[in-house]
Amino acid sequence: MLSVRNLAKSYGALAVLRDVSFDVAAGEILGIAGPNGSGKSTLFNVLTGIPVRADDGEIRFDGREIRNLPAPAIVAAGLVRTFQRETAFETLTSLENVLAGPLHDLRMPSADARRRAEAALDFVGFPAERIGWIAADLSVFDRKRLMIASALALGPKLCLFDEPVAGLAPPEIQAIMAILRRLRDRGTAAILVEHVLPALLGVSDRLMVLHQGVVLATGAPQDVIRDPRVIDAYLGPGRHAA
Amino acid sequence: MTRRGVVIGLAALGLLAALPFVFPVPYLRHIFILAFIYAVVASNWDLSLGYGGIFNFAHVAFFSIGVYGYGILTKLAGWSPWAALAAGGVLATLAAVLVAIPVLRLSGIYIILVTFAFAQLVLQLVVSQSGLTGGMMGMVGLPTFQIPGYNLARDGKLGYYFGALALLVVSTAFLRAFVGSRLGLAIRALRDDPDYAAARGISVARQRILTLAASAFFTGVAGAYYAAYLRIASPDAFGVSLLSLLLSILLLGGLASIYGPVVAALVLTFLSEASVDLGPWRHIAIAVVIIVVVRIWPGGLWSALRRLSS
Ligand SMILES: Nc1ncnc2c1ncn2[C@@H]1O[C@H](COP(=O)(O)OP(=O)(O)OP(=O)(O)O)[C@@H](O)[C@H]1O
Ligand SMILES: [Mg+2]
Repeated sequence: MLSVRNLAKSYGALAVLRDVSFDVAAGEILGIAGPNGSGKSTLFNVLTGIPVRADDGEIRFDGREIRNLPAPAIVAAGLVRTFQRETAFETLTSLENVLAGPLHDLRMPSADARRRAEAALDFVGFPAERIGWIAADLSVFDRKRLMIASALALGPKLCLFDEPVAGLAPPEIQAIMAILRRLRDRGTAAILVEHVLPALLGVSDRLMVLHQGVVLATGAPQDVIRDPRVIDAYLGPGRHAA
Repeated sequence: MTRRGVVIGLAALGLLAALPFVFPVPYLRHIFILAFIYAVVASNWDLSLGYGGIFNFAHVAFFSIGVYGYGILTKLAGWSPWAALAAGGVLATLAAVLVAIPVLRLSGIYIILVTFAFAQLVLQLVVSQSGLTGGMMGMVGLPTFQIPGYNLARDGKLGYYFGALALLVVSTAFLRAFVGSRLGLAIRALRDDPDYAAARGISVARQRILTLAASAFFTGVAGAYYAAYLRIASPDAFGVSLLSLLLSILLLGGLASIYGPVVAALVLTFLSEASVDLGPWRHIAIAVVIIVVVRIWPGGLWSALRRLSS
């Protein structure tokens, strides 16, 4: 479904992504781990064209090259992201936050958009009594769920999650992981960037490790976390003897 | 709109409709006609500036294009005043689309520069094409509105008073419907966070063009109405005094409400007339009032009214 080849992105002299290649199959969840600054968020940025584009490489999605498509066209193709920070349209209500995307597509009848938005809010377990609240008044957990709901309301084929559980309490982490599992059961593919390892290993079908903008390892999660290069990258060289 | 909002709106409208009969003073009507026109221009600016977050300084040019469109079409092309009134709106909308194109990829201060340059360009065009526009002298003796058998300027400008009030009502209803529509939702989302809006499939380009075009139509119509009422088209329509008046209205009324600038246009007109005796101190007095209001209620008059009434 997604096929990335030799992707590169630099900021001036700083090469943030170098020669990144990987695939995501339909319905699969690909986990991505990597130390701070390894380029995970930048990868999401260049995949979706928000707010920057790749310098080089190929991004094929559903058989189509999307690297130079405008951001809204990438969304329309079914590739939708969330942000690392729990982003929302601050002055809009929760419901409006989720409606804004679907309603922007003028071909979609507003009743359909509303049904989608309500279904998405329901899917993430967003409390019904807070759908009229202004987003700025919501808790971090609610904002994270709201951001996920607003992505799902767009009907994505592949959803990119950038640290969806960072900063949450354990029961909240469980709730988000349950959303991701339900999403997989529904057949929606996902890429999950996460520092919280149990969460990452709990839902990923495959794991990829980025380090300084380079793909260190890709494969079954249990194999990847035992890979000596991965252990080096996280703990420093020579620490994997034990 | 809440039921109470409807009641308050109708009451205000009733008061304004009764006003010219309660105080049958042509000068008062004149002041209110101008206030209604400024209210239209300022509240339409609120659409692009307040709701859209687009620092659009070409708004005054949209007004002037309505003014000169009316003058040229009626005087030189022989159009009927009513057709020229509509054309004022259409021409301003076309100008807005033209401005929107360079603005699509810019942000913040660059938008101010480009839109301001556009306004200056239109002004230069008007001043230099004196064969068409009368240059610095402007155009005088423009035809006024007639409905069969009646000149709107008769009966102490009664027709113009109600025409301007009707224009304000229609424009305000349009703006409120627009911001409440799906397009308005996308405009607000874009203002809150452009990157997040793009990530939700919202097209910055489409929304900016639509916002500017929608804010220009009634502004151009108001320009044409202004020209028909005063029977002149002059470069003053681009002037700093109009610009500063509109900015004062927006500041006093508060952004992103549409109603705020409407209320502020009426209040400022009143203040300005009530303080005529102060002579040159008048502008300073009004500035002080604005500063005090905004210090106490940073959201302007509209948020103050809302807070006081809740
Ligand atoms: N706009 C930018 N300009 C310059 N450098 C940037 C920019 N955005 C990111 N970087 C740099 O790119 C590198 C990768 O950043 P990125 O945010 O992709 O890392 P990450 O893997 O998501 O890290 P984290 O786990 O902390 O979220 C960092 O060194 C960062 O400083
Ligand atoms: Mg990151």
